[in-house]
Amino acid sequence: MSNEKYPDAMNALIEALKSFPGVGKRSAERMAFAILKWPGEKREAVGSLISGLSNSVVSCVVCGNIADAEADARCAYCADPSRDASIICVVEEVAQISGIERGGFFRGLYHVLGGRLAPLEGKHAEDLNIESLRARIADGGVLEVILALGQDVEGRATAIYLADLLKTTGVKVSRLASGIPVGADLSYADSATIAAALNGRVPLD
Amino acid sequence: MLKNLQLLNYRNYVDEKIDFDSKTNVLTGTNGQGKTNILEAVYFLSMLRSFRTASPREIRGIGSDFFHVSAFLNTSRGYDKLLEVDYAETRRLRIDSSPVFKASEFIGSFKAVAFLPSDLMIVTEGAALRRRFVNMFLCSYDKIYLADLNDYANALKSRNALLKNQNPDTDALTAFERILAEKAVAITAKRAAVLKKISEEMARLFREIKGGNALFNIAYTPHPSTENIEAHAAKLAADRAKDAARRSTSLGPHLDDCQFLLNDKPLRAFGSTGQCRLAALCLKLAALKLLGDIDGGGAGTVALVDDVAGELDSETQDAFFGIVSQTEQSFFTFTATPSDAYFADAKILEVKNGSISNAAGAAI
Ligand SMILES: Nc1ncnc2c1ncn2[C@@H]1O[C@H](COP(=O)(O)OP(=O)(O)O)[C@@H](O)[C@H]1O
Ligand SMILES: [Mg+2]
Ligand SMILES: [Zn+2]
Repeated sequence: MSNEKYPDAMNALIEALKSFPGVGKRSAERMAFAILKWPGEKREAVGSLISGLSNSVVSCVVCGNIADAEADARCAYCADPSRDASIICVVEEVAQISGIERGGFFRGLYHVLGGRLAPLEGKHAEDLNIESLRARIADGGVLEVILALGQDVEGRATAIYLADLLKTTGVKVSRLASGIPVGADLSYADSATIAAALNGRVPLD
Repeated sequence: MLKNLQLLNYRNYVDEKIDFDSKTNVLTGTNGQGKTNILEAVYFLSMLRSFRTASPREIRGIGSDFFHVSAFLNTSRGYDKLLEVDYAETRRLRIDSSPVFKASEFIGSFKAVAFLPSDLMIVTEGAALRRRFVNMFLCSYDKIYLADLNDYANALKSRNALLKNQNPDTDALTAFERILAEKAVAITAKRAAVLKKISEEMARLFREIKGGNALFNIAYTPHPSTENIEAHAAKLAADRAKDAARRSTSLGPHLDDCQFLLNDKPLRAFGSTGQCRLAALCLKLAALKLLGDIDGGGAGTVALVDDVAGELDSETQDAFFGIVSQTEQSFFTFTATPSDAYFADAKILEVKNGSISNAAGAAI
């Protein structure tokens, strides 16, 4: 592996771009050179978009999805009165919501856990948005919870954990039944597959 | 069958390409020239594991930071398939130039069985080597087994990690133990079924070689609660305090064992070296036979025979060649060209210090 002789600032930028999912050294270099060709204003604008994110985008106080920063911030779904508030679809990450929405089948609300139980990564129940899910259900009006979690060991263990936890609440708990290949990442499953999986959901016992 | 083999920085092979056009291939050469390394490379393409080391880094040639193995496979369906493995920092797999991300989709493109001098230890040493054999065999016998095994290992490590905490989260433990129990039951059932088949095939071979009163069988001893998911999960839950103290999980297929019995006596304790050697050979022959039966008539199987075939008595040799001749292709190593008639039509390849030439001496 030869190390190119770039200015320090370029090396730092390439290193930073490598933290994007799926971006290795080669792609990061191409991105850095593309950015270098941008006019100064564009670099400023994109830079301030990135640095402004921490003030402009916050977590929805209800479900944990991303939302515009404002007092009592709610995401686009929680703020939409036409959505069915009696069904909650639980996902691991925000990015998974757009995949489900693209299917156009699901009309309920979401709950974003912010990960899954992963003892090997030091991720435990208290690190996830589980209390807020319990609180939403305790507030009433929720009839069904769909667990749209990954099919790997951690995703399945988290589904079992939540199903056990919600057993006493009387809400119907189901998980995605089929269609999502074992070990697949839900963020990238196509919407038809997710629609099929939502259709075929089965109760967890 | 493999039509060629290409090696880059593979042990003592810097850049070597060998063509195979024969069903039976013999690698000859004095010790330390690189015969076993060729068998290892073929095995690696089949199983993505070495039979010599658990650490693929050891394979790359001294001073290099990667190795490459590839081969054209002529499948029984008549088309060629290019299999490629690159091992640098990470492993990259390709079939016909398309990347393959899951090992389970690469493993078993052809089914290799290696006959090695160290096979004796499967019979005579501890349980870990027997579990390793069964695991490797099942990975090429059953496509889903590797996923079961990986999930099991992950759930097991997760449970052990949870138990390390001062106050373990019992609800999280219940969740991971449930998955652990599901996988334990699945793995145990698969091992039991396959060991029964291997046992029957080995018994047949023993009768053929040793005569009618040689009674061979394998006794598999799974952990008691592994027939039932609920019972196994309950047992795991009951063992939490004990397991937390030992810092490991004391129940499950990661600890099971099987015994090789001849006339009801464990070979490991009572067998002569000759009997243990024969059992090891029959074990691998049984594996080869079962893999060949999947698609029928030995299709897709490759036998890799390292320093084993030379010293067999005639009954054993008959049984051995009887099964090996059914494979799609075989590779043998010898220090000198074998005189046995079995090798009359074999392709003889001379191995010398990391390069290979055909017996006539011309470079290939
Ligand atoms: N990682 C490696 N890099 C270079 N040479 C290696 C490596 N591993 C083993 N060797 C060499 O390979 C040779 C052994 O090859 P082997 O196939 O076992 O020989 P044999 O012909 O006796 O079966 C030895 O010369 C050893 O030094
Ligand atoms: Mg050798
Ligand atoms: Zn929301």
